[in-house]
Amino acid sequence: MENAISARASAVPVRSMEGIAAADFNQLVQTHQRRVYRVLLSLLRDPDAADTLTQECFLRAYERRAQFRGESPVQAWLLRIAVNLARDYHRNRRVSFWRRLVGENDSNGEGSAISNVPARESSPEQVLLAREEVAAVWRAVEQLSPRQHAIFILHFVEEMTMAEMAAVLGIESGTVKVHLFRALNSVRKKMEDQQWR
Amino acid sequence: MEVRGHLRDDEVIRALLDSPLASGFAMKDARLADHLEACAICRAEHDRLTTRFAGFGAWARAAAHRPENFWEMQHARIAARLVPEKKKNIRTWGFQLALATAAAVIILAFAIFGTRPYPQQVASTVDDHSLLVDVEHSINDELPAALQPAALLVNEMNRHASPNTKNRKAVKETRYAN
Repeated sequence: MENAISARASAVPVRSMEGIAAADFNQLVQTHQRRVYRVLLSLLRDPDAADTLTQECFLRAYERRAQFRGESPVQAWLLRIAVNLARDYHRNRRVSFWRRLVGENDSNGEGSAISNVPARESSPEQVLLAREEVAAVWRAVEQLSPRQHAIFILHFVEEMTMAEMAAVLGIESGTVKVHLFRALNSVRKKMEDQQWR
Repeated sequence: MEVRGHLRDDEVIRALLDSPLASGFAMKDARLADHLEACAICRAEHDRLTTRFAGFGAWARAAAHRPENFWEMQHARIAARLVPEKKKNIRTWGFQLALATAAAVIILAFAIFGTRPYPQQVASTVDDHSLLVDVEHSINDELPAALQPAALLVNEMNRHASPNTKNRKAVKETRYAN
């Protein structure tokens, strides 16, 4: 499995995509599609939506490739598009309504994205406990504000540094740190409320 | 080392932030680092949170794992959607070119055929008095040629009308005269 660190290493900064050829764009898709999908899946917890929005992310990037100035790595630019797409997706009240209607909410939503994670060298009880703990974290994380949610995911799932997250979100590193601090505090308190000490 | 009290919740979280999971940098706050090293309870809490969030990240990454054909299919779908986008751009270009040509033709046509001067109004040489006389003539003129047959018919009907009616009319006129 491609992990976050190798993804970071493979992220070759592109100076400018202006006038990029179709073949180059295909290469860009191949290089970054896993990470974009992973971030979207972590933010949305809906594999179908993550797949659709990954495609949308690259289409949007293609349309706006002339706007890319190369001030940040292309990966940060792509992830910024992905995070904005996820935010818009959450804002779509119609989608939220249908998600609630079909019961894809906090109570059982964790099953869709994380139920098939293989557990090695663990007893069934440990696996169950770990799964419940992760589900509790998911529930707590989903209650964060969109920005804190994105920062939490980028830090703990993508293992990004403050500077990398700042580049993705277009804000100062200090602001990222404040948001992450608040996010961690909030998640910790919510976990305690759920009797996860 | 003597440990006084324990770290507050925010300090534990600060310690968590100062030791990013992926980097392994040394802690920035020496006081926190020293305390964690000396206090088993705080260290356990710090480690528990570290493990929890690291586990969360690992779990989320594992959940996003897909077989190779998934990525190939996704890539193909993106590529397929990019092609119509390019075609659309070409189509848009063609459409714009056609539109520009049509506009040019219309402008040219106006330039050639549309610049013919309007018929100039001849300055009136008739004075007001003659105009009024003409109006007077029109008003007092006989019936228009188109209505002349109808007028003849009315006259004919009046002429052949019954004498009683004629007499009654005459009496009436005489009464009014008196």
